[in-house]
Amino acid sequence: MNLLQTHATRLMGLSVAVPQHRVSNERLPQLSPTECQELITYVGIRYRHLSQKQTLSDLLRPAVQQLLKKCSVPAQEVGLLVLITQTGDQQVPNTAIGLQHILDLPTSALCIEINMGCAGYVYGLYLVSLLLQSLESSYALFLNGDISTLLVKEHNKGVLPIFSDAVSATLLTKDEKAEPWSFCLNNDGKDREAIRMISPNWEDPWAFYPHASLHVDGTVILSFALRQVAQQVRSFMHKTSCSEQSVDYFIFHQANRIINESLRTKLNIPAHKYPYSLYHFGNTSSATIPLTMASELSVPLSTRSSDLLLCGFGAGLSWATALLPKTPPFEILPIHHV
Amino acid sequence: MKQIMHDMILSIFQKELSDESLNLHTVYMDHPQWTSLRSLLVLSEIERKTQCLVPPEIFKNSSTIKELANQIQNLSS
Repeated sequence: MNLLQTHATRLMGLSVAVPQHRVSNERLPQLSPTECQELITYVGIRYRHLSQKQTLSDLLRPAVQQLLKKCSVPAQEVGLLVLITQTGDQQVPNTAIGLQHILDLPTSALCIEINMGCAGYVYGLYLVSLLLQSLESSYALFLNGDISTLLVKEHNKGVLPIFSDAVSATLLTKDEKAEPWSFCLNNDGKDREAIRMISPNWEDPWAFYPHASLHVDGTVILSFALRQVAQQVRSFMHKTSCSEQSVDYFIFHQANRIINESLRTKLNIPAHKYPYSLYHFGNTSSATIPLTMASELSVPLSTRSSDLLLCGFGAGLSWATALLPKTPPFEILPIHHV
Repeated sequence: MKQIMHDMILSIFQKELSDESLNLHTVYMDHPQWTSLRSLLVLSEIERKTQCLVPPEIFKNSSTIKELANQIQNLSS
């Protein structure tokens, strides 16, 4: 196992935004009433927030602006913006550079966009932490999330009730006294087709192609989670000498309740240390980890130091685990409904 | 041993598909209650009860419950 470490980075603040429009899984025309009830009971998702033509930038703008204000960081002092998404505002040009202008960041700010799904939050923390140390500026913005409703079509009844839209903005700063962060990052393209865009015309499987739709093979993902993800977390915990007792919160990507509970049971993680945001927000791709922090853990994370173990897994296939030990309290804004 | 495995796998299918009439010769993917959600429930329950992670290709390529139970038996022995 390749254990990576980054140094001297601290979380300053977190801001999450979801579209105001909310739908319930209680009644879906694509499913029978029994199927709807089972979906809520077993998959664990009751509500989803869906974009009404709002773009990623529309959701990110208020989240970032209020985050910078709350943390008293002028936009002109931000030296790095990393955006991780699969659903930017358009394919050309990239959305990260558009956000530089929208947010009034300096033109010298390094702006990078990366295409990643549900493992993206952990990958992003690693990259931002590394890049920040090479810059003069003390502040970095890490933005992520998806308008997954762009990828899912109405007829796709296996995927439609799962995905929901959300974005998050994390503000990071340099701090020589901060505990090192540990990471383990893996990819395997062998099973890449388990989560992919498909289209009637195979030559055009683009996210923005109007007839393409997201396909997810649940049995492959369950197997992947219980094999690769569980094994990575176990080895990672051994190598970083942390345990179910020492970690305060295990914040996992919210895939669906069947997969997440299978993982929790396999790893012997106590339920009270393993929060869920699925019921109210669904699977929001790379935003599930920060969304779970903001919706379920805002009081403990903003008031006391915590050992956090984060784990993201999904499209790629990619899977990533991070340990953020003794994370000092940081600002967590109430979830914005845009 | 094989009989125990057959009984265990059959009972998982009967419970998750809410159908006591299922038998070892049932082609599970043809069952009217079979959905992607059911397949996840069955697979996670098999993993929990047998401690055996069934590769998705075996799950998808097996026809009857008996055939799947035999494959799982081979994996665990």
